[in-house]
Amino acid sequence: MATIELQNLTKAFGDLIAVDNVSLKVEENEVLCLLGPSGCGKTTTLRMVAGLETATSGDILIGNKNVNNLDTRDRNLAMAFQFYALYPSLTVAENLANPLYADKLSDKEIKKKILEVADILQLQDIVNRKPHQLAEGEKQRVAVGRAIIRDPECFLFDEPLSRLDVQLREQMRGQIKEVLSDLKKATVIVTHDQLEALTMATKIAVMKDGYIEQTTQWNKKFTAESLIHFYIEEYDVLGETCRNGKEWNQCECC
Amino acid sequence: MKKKVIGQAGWLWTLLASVVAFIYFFPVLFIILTAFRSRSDTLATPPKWFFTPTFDNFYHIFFRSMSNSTEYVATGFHMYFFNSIYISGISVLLALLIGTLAAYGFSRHPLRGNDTYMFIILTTRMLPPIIVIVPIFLIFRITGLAGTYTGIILMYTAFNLPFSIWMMKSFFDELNTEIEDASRMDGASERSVFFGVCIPQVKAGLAATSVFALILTWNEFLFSLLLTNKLTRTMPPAMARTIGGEINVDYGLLAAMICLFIIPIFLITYILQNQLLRGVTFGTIKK
Repeated sequence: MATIELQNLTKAFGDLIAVDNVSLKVEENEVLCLLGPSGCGKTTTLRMVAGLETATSGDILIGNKNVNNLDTRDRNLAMAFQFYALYPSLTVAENLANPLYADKLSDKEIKKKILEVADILQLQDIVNRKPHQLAEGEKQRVAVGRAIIRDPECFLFDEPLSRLDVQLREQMRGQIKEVLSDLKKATVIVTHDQLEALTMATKIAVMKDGYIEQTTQWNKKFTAESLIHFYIEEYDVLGETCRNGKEWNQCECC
Repeated sequence: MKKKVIGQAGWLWTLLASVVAFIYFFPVLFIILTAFRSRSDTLATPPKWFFTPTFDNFYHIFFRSMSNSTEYVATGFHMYFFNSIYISGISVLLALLIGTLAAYGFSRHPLRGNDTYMFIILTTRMLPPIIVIVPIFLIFRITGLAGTYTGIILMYTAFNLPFSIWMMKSFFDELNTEIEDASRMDGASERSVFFGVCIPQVKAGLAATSVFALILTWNEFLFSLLLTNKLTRTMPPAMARTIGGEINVDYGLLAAMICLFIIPIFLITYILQNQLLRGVTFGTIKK
């Protein structure tokens, strides 16, 4: 069990500052949603936590330990990717087993774990299929399964539901939420879907242009500005006027 | 009523395709037939389509009677055959090995000005070989590489590298990097990401690149002619040397040599055909 803490995290690609001085803390048991429009730096933030991207400046602490200089595989995290990232030549069972090889478990234990996860995510019927024989929703479940099969310090989800249709999304949302509440670990979910954020998270951080605009516990309400800002890009939160210069509640364009 | 299979070509198209295919195949067929004709049959006009096949030509590739003698001596042609296989095999493997590693580097860890480097690499292939042959010949003579296996293998490796780097880079560029990241999350080292995740996904690319490079190297004439000697000569210049001499061009002999010459390439292409098909169409269809 561990917390995730970001301190003044910044990432620049040349002149472009993708993540600007981000500080936040995810407690054990907490599910943080990074919510924001495309290109606001939320995935980059997540990748920095995972160690797939090096931070330009700032610190990442996992379980109060600075992991800035640790390789991805030494950080002991699990991540589910946006495009599932299943190994195309391996079956579902082999895909699920892959994270376990590093832990040097016996074949029997691996098999037991696979069955456990397959049971939780209802993958029993498809464990011997290859990724290209799966439907989107099934791929999605395998990707989540691969993330939760190990017992890592924390979980990271990169837009886990963005490729599913509305009906499946609703179904998966509930399923992931259920799984997460059983795991009781610090989790970061990246999404651009406010509904997803509101249903799955216990804490939401709204990101915009690389910085965190607002962090809120889900039960406390969002300020209207922040949400509107998110829904409608035109709206200028700080000045509380939209581009047309009107108050936000009187504006016709919003 | 007969059920029509969707997508199946009608008999007219099939016939047309067969005719076109036959036109392309005809020169090869003619060479193969010539290889089995006796000397008088090869020169007959119009060509004789029905004749008694003979293996004399194939025998004469390896054993030849000296003038004014009935004794047959070895021509040493088996050595040139071996040289061709050895030299092109090693140089293609080397180019593939170095090229794949370089391509992975260029694709995953781009340098500042990556495209410029890639362009410079490509420009080495834009020069017609005849322009560089003089300096290369001089360099080889000074360094003592002329006439050695090392020299010609190095030459061919350098010759194949730009091609294999460019081709392999495009294969690596097409891969989903998320899968590599996923395997890093699963605890894989950088080495096992490359060998365990990337390489299996570009198998088709490796096959296509190696066949293309192999065909280029196998057919290469100019460098081999100038940079090898009697012992290290490859097939193309060796074949060219049989033209001329006391009986002018022995077409039967030449045709038999060509038959032997195409067998290795044919075999390799045949073995790799499944991979190759996927390899050459890779990237032409968007995923």
